[in-house]
Amino acid sequence: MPSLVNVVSAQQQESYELYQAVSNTSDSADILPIKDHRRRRSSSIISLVEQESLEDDTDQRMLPNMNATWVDQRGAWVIHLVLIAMLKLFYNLMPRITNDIAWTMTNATYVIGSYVMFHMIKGTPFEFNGGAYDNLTMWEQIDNETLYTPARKFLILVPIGLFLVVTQFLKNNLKLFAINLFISFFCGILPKLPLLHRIRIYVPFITNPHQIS
Amino acid sequence: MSGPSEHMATASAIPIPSAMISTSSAAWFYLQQGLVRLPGGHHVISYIEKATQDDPYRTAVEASLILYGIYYYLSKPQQKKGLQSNRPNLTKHEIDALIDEWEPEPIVVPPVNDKETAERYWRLAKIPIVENHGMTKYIDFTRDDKKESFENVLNLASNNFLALSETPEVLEVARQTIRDYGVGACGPAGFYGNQDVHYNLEYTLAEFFGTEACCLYGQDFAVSSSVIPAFTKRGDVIVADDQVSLAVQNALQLSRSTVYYFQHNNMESLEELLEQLNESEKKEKLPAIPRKFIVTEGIFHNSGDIAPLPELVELKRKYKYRLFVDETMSLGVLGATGRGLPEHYNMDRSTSIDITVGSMATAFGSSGGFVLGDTFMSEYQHIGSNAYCFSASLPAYATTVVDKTLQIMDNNNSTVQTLQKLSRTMFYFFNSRVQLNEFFTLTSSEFSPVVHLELKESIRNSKFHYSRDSLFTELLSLQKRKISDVFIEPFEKEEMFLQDIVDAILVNHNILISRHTIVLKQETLPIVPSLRISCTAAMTEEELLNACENIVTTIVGLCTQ
Repeated sequence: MPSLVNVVSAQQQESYELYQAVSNTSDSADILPIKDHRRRRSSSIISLVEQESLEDDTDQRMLPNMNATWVDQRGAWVIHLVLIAMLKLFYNLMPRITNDIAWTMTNATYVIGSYVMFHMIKGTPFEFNGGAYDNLTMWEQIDNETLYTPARKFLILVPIGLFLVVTQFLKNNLKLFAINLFISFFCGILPKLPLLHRIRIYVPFITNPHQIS
Repeated sequence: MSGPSEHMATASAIPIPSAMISTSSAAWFYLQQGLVRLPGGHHVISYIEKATQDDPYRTAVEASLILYGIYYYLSKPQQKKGLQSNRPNLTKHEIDALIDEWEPEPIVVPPVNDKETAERYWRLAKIPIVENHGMTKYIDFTRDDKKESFENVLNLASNNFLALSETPEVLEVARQTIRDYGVGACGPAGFYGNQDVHYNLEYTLAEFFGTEACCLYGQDFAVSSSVIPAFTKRGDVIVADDQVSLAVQNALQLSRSTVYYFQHNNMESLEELLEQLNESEKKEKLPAIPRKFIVTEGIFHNSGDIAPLPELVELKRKYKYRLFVDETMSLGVLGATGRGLPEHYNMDRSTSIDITVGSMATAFGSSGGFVLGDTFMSEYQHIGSNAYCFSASLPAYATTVVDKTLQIMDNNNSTVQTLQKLSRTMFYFFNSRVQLNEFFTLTSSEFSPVVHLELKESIRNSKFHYSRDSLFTELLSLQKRKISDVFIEPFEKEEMFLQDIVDAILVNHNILISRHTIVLKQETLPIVPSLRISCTAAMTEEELLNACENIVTTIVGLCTQ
């Protein structure tokens, strides 16, 4: 018995064609959906999110993407610096935490927090376009997927800058340096590289399977 | 000042080759020499000395990060998406040539002047334009730019089934409302468009049909295509009947959901499909559970059939789906008091149907549409439904008229009963004519006030050489090639044949019936032409039977020629 949800290529997505299978057979086991938005991508470790179909693209352009437009504002930039300062203050106030550990914690909190926000959660919290952005992370949604824009430049320079500042305070502690480097590189810098735009890397327990085409 | 390399061997746990030490020492020495001469250079030197912590690996890491940061900062913006990213490299001349070459399709149909266009757009000349207000059962109308005119024609093409809008009390309400409120609403519901009468009508409708709440729309065709997309998105599942009307088809396309079709009113087909979907969902282990809907119609717009609600409700409960029913044609018609499909099956609307779409332009004789359901669903439409948010609300008199009509129906269900009696009479009349049934199939139900007569498949095959499937295949191939000017000759021939029947009945017996209106280029489901005869409660049985007799004689006469 053929599988219910067939994997169809982007060209075959035209709904009408698929209906043909329905009208000509009496056996409903062959029924294909008119428009399948639930295709699962290959289960390989690294996969590429395909370009949107014309329909998806139209839906994306229907309204400005409120999920990503605020990132461009200068006020939103300042907040990053304010947050970092407040995190540092917070960790300094904790008892029995030395300065180098406080810096490491600040770095880790900021970088992992921004990873969750920019690279882990997909789609938009608002429902205004039928889930047209459900495949893209917030980082990919910024500036309509234009790379090297001022907002992106700022957002990639902040973790780099923070890392450089943190290393100032680490003295000879190689272990803390390695931890900071690991977190900053894998959570703060690597996912933001243009090379990895629209690329999904499967990490056990962190990434979800794709639900929507 | 000495270079950091002197302390290196002791500071770092990792051994460092001596060649590297000497090169980096030399590089550091000359860098220092250069930096000292620059203003503020000693700050840079002290930063580097501090940051390196006497470890060249750390220095290398930091230096490469800084270099990449500078590279990123200096890069130019680069579009990664859509037209910009895969635009072919054309020269200016090539672009100009392409633009010159392009000929836009006409937005409006050209005026009928030459023979060819006249043949293609023959439908335009067949549209009746009513002279008087058109609410009565006998109407005067003209066709073909006033070249033909007809008087006192019995209207068997009306959707105003209950004909309550003709009653003096309803007309008086309309008159009074126009005096009090004027005509026309200012704008959309949220922008001063809704007046007290709109909210009153929402309450009245909800109360009349026994649901928690109701949401009023300005136009009935746009209701489905606005409500379904408001509640669905990509990844959701919709299971729909495969003969739904164009309005619902549009809604399904706009819903962006995964749409499956079950065979028309075939509950085994539906159950099998739901079972399969259930199994595949278990197998897939998707991270989020999709919203799921069953979509069908009360009285089918395309065939006059009615949906088997009890079975649908049973299945929706079993498989945990929501039920959406477009009751455009069935509200005010089905059930002892005209409360629609659930009353017809002695069921409770609020527990059986989750979303009901109704129209006030059919049985209630006004205009606009509405959605019945629970409070949350109705409230959500006020912010999430495009047609509610962005299109103008109804004129005040259109709402008070419905209010009055509902009041009349609530007090006295005789109009509904009369209509149902007439519908049944009409159905059994057409059903019992053996001669007619040799040529035509009656697709509608006995409860439907609209009778659909479809040419028998064998007759269609022999006379026009096509079938439902072949028409659909051809339509698909046109749509796939993105040809919007759909002209399929055998289909046109059949439509013209049906129009000949309509014309003959009109000319010989002064009775107006109609072809079922099909906008073929928009259809996404198989469909064939049909004749459409509707009765209204204002008619007497004798009148109707006489008209039906005349219709049958004319049809049989034309078919046997």
